[in-house]
Amino acid sequence: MTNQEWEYNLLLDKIADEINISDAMRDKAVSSYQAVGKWIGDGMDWDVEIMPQGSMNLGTIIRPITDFDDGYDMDLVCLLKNGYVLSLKDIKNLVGNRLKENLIYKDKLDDEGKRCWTLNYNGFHMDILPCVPKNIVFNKPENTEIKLTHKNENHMYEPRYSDPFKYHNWFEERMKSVLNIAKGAYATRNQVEIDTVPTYKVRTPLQKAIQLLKRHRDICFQDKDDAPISIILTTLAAQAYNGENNIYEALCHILTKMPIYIENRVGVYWIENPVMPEENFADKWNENSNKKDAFYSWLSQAKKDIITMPLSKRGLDVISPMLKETLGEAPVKRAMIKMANSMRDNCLKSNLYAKGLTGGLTTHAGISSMPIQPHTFYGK
Amino acid sequence: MQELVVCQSSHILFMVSKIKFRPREYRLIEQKMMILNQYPDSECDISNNKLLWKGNLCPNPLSRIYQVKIEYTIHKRPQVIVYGDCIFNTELMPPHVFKIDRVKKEINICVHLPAEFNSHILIVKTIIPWTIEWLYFYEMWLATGEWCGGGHSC
Repeated sequence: MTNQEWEYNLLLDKIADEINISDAMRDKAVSSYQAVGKWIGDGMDWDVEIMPQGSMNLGTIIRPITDFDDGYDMDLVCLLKNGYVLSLKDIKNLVGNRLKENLIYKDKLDDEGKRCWTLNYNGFHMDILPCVPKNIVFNKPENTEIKLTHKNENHMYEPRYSDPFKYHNWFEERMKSVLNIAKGAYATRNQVEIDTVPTYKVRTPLQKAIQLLKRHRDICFQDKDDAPISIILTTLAAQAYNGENNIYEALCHILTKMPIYIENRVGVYWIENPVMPEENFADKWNENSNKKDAFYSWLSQAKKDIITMPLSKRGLDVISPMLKETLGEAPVKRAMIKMANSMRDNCLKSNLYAKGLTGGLTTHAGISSMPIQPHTFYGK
Repeated sequence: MQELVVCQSSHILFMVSKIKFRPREYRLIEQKMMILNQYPDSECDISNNKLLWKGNLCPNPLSRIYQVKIEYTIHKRPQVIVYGDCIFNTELMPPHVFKIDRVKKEINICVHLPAEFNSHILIVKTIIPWTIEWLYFYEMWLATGEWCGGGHSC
């Protein structure tokens, strides 16, 4: 990697942190879902397990483009572990009725959704997916397929199947070595056991790359239909990821290799769910080719906006408006101010050097580097 | 100097401590040698008791390259001038600047308090690195609207 690419990598890394959910909001969401899980579990004879799924659980959740630290969707699986025998209608209504028994939850509850019950909190929406094991036995990590309910236009319940637990494990496996390093660092920092560190609490280059791609997608499609869905971006990115230990190289690789994992099975576009091969994440592309075209045009735009253009120009002030336009004004500005403040802190700690005349400021002392001695800018 | 310290006279002791702790004044030729030794790709000349240094500076691998000159006469404040088109892509007045000459396309910047430089200090170790740092915060200021480099107003 060139010095320019490395420095750009640091900037992208900071921007990804700025579009991430805040720790406070995430902790609030986690304690809220634990309380909901307890309420549901305490009130029925079925063995209930409630777990986050989707981007909140994968650590790829992003702020809305308004930049407010709210409006998040938090997806939860509410599994009735011994409910294999229940009818589809009962699966859905047992959970819904239990929520309605609590006045606080009743007040937050939306009308019945196609698959979920939605509770509206201040800051996030909690989508609770009632489900039972697909097979009689539910055992992690081998037998984790779930049966959920889908209410069709005729108000009839149809079965659907999914395996969010296995998907989560697959996602972790795709970034295993960097994830272990990140979890190890988190465990040391917080003096906890490495096995107890959840994936959503650490920040790997893959997670950050996915966050930037999702943010680029959100801005790109704010006035357009057919935005590529998050599960497609996440799956293709994780497939394409090749263990890079920095976000810039991860993004370069992902943006180049993503299309490899889109199959054409005798005229049918197919993006395989890596843990349920019979599921095609791109099934809608075959009903509406605009969605497929939108994906490919977004991909080429993302390469241009995130990789090619910013590196073709010089000047932090020239790169900054490009990134603000494609990744959001506020997070890019905050990221740059944080970089500048960190530079200032290093200077105050006498830990800053000028590398030659043109190598830039650095915290690494080298043969050609000159320490920045304490001083004070003056004048108007 | 150690052996002088054993002298009985308090007057001599005072002088010794002065000699010992005050670095000597650098001549222009020494300033020039030290600069060119560290930065051989830059230009440095002395004429009429004035040192003139010119170099291309880049504060960050994502930054532009800036043309900078330093004019220095012993016992006077070094004049640090960023010049050329690279600095004149904005109408805004950057912080920590003495004066701007829009015709000559020159900005005279202030990288230190008066007390932070004198003729006993090397330009190569202070003014030049400080200028690189100013340029970094200048670009960040253009990018964000905030000056993050600290400093005092006159």
